[in-house]
Amino acid sequence: MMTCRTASKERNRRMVSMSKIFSLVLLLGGTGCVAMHHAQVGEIDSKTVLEGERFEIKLSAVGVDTEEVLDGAADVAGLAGKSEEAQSIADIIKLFQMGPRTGYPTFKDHYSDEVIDKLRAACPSGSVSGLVSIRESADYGMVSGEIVKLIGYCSREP
Amino acid sequence: MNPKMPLLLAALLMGCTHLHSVSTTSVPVQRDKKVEAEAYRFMFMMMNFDNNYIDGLTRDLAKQCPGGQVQGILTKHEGIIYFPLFAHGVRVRASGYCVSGGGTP
Repeated sequence: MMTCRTASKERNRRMVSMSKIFSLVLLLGGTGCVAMHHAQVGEIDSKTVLEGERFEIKLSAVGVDTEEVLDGAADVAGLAGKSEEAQSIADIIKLFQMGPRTGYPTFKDHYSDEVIDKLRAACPSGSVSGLVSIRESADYGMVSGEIVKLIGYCSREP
Repeated sequence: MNPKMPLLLAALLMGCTHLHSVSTTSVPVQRDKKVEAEAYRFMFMMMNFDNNYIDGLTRDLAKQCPGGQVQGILTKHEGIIYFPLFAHGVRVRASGYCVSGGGTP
């Protein structure tokens, strides 16, 4: 019985260390990785695109990987791998974040609202063409940059 | 035959493409000249540090339609899994119609 328990503990320890190595590989692989969720090309006036001035607008908010944060918190509290309460808390939080989404949850959803003002400032002439809108995430482990990017061309002629 | 063989073959030969997003702008009446451009990036272990590879898409389309307008642009953003975890690809395809002068959309 004792031997069986020891073997089981050893197996669990190996599994935990394997999963740590795997997580590390994934973390290293994913560090600073940028994922694109959506890209859209707008209508193009060839003259403006080829002869105009290129501009880029970037708006972002901090996203948080709640699962990673909870795992980290459980580690700090010494509850890693043995706490049902930590898992229950994680499950409850997940319920509040259900549904289709891109990237990690952010603390505000209006960070992209000022894109129109920025566009007006980037191209005072108002003649914008070849607008590419991109929704992307830059992943830094527990946190991410949730980004909305616009690339376009502004006509030099008034 | 080894019973695991079909599973192994299925795992090796399976290629997957996913359509992440698709969008279109107003389609013009004049649809004689179709223009297309594509941006692609291969990713090893899903590592990708920027999305600048799609920057040239608009210029590529504009060059195919000098002096005109490209309208009715269909943009497709696709993901390709060549081999799980190790080999992935992302492709953004844009196609539209070259309308000479100030054609009506």
